[in-house]
Amino acid sequence: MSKMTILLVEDDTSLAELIATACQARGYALTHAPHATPALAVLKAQHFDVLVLDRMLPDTDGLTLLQSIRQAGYDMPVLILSALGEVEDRVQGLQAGADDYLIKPFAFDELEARLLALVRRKTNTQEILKLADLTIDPMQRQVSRGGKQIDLTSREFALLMYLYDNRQQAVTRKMLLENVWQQQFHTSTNVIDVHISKLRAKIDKGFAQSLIHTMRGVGFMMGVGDE
Amino acid sequence: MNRLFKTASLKAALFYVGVAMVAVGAVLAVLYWQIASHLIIRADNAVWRDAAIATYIYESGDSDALVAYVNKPVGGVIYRLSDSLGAYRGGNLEKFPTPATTHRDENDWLHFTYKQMQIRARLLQIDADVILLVGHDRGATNALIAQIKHSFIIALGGLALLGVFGGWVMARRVLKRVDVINEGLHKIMGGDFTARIPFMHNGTDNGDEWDTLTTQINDALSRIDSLIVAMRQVTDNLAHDLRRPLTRLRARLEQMPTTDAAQTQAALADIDSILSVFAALLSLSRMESGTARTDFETINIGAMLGEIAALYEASFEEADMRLVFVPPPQTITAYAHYALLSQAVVNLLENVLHHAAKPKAQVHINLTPDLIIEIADNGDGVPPEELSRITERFVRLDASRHTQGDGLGLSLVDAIARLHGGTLQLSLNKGLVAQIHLPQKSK
Repeated sequence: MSKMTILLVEDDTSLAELIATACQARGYALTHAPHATPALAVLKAQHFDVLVLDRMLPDTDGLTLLQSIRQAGYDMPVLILSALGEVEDRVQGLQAGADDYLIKPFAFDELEARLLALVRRKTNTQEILKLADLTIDPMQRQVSRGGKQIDLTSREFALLMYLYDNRQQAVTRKMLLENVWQQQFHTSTNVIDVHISKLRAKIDKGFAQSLIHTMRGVGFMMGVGDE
Repeated sequence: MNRLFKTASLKAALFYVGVAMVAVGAVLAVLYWQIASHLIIRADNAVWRDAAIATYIYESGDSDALVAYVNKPVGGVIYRLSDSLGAYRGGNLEKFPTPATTHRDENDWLHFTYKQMQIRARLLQIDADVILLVGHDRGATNALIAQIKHSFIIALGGLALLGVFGGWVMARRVLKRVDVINEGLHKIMGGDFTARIPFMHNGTDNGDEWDTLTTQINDALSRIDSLIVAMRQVTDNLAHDLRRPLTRLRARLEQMPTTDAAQTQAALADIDSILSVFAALLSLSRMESGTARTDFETINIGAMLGEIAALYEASFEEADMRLVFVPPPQTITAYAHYALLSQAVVNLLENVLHHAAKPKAQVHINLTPDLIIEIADNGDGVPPEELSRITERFVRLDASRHTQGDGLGLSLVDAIARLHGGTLQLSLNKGLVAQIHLPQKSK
């Protein structure tokens, strides 16, 4: 995939600069618009893979801007950034047509992982999927490794599919909780890690090459190669 | 109906009816006694008058004239003339009534029945050998007295009925007003601080004491409402103002060129724990001011608990415990906020994982059709005297000082239960039993 292009609409300029620096370091092209009017202008001039909108902007509400963007026919994925502690805002954001939602302050890794998941081309579930010697048949819901059949529960299968969809890039625990379990709550335990280690015991145990990796401080990654 | 009997107004009405009955009863009793004695004296005077006439006739020297007189009495009067031994000499009462059927009262009046007449009579010694019995029928007088007594009792009964009915009507009216006020206050306690108590009469203040009370309550509510709006404003501003520097701080720290990665990670972890307390406090205050009431929907509680149980089973297994949830056979729904209610259940489960972990312990999630979600462990529980304190903010029992947690988990559960119009109830059985009671019909 070529360089990911991001449009960030954020009125806090110094935060935008920090995000831009981080993006540059990871090789993404970020354009910053301080509020809605320049954002709409720059959208006309240039294509973006993904949009990051602050919920509260000086000239308009982030959700209103999102609606005008959608009405103008842009269909790229949108991630909304919002202030702390506003449980009900998430639902409103997703209802307004956002694809993901992140609460400030956030870890850059979390933002990066979510943006990558958003722009990722969706896996074709009609064909047999392969990763190293792992084979997944999404239609039959069958998984095998090295020719050996692996029995997974339906939730383990969903977890594996989500990891596979985002293979070679990190997914955070919160992303797994939201996308595999469809839960919004905050957890103070390692509830996700426990499920990952159960899945790992089925997928990786007894094989020389690990396919599910722990990314310290970020989350997990499925893939071949470096740990 | 049962509530009606418990109302203070019905009790007051019944008390006043009782007092009025005693007072009116006393007046009527005196009146009755006076009327009755007046009627009796009048009747007795008639007997004395007839006796005087008879005596006069005898003293006029004509003994035969007396016999003739007593032989032809007017209706309702009886005479019996006898000698001192009681032998009959004249009058319409030939046979003296037997002592068994005769009653002699303390004033020497004789009472007996003769030819269906109720006789009240008197014996008079007119001469040494002449004794006269003069008697009058008292039937009419007695009937009159009885009738007066009867109508007085009816009047007293009517008064009692009227009083009870009046009290009942009054109690119902009061109850209706109190219910309107209660309903309004209930809404407000549920977090809807914009709710007001309506006036009863076409929605206008008609100046009675109830409407004055309603106005006073509504004024107080407006004051509370504006204070809460102001407080929320402060919270929101605080969140907004702190969000910026904290977001930047976190971003800067992440990108700082570092020689000591472990130190940076530790600093980030510190910021994250500040942020999680901050986030929990913000959502607590937002919930307590009732702002999260939007996004309520009818949710299948059994399915929700099933999801959570499936997610947490493995964590309990890893801690060498067992999480048990048997879904109820029927579908149980409630009007609730999905994310918040599941957060409450998760907090209770994680509370067990953090504080009540004990090898081989069992944790049960139960759901009853009357919307009680129960999480019961058979761990060590908490000291009974601490039970009421553990939902307070930042309260961490001594035993758990060294474990992780911010002391807000149970406060959050409590706030979430109250946001739903329910309660969090904690008790001790084998271990801690936490119950979230949701209201049966909420809208």
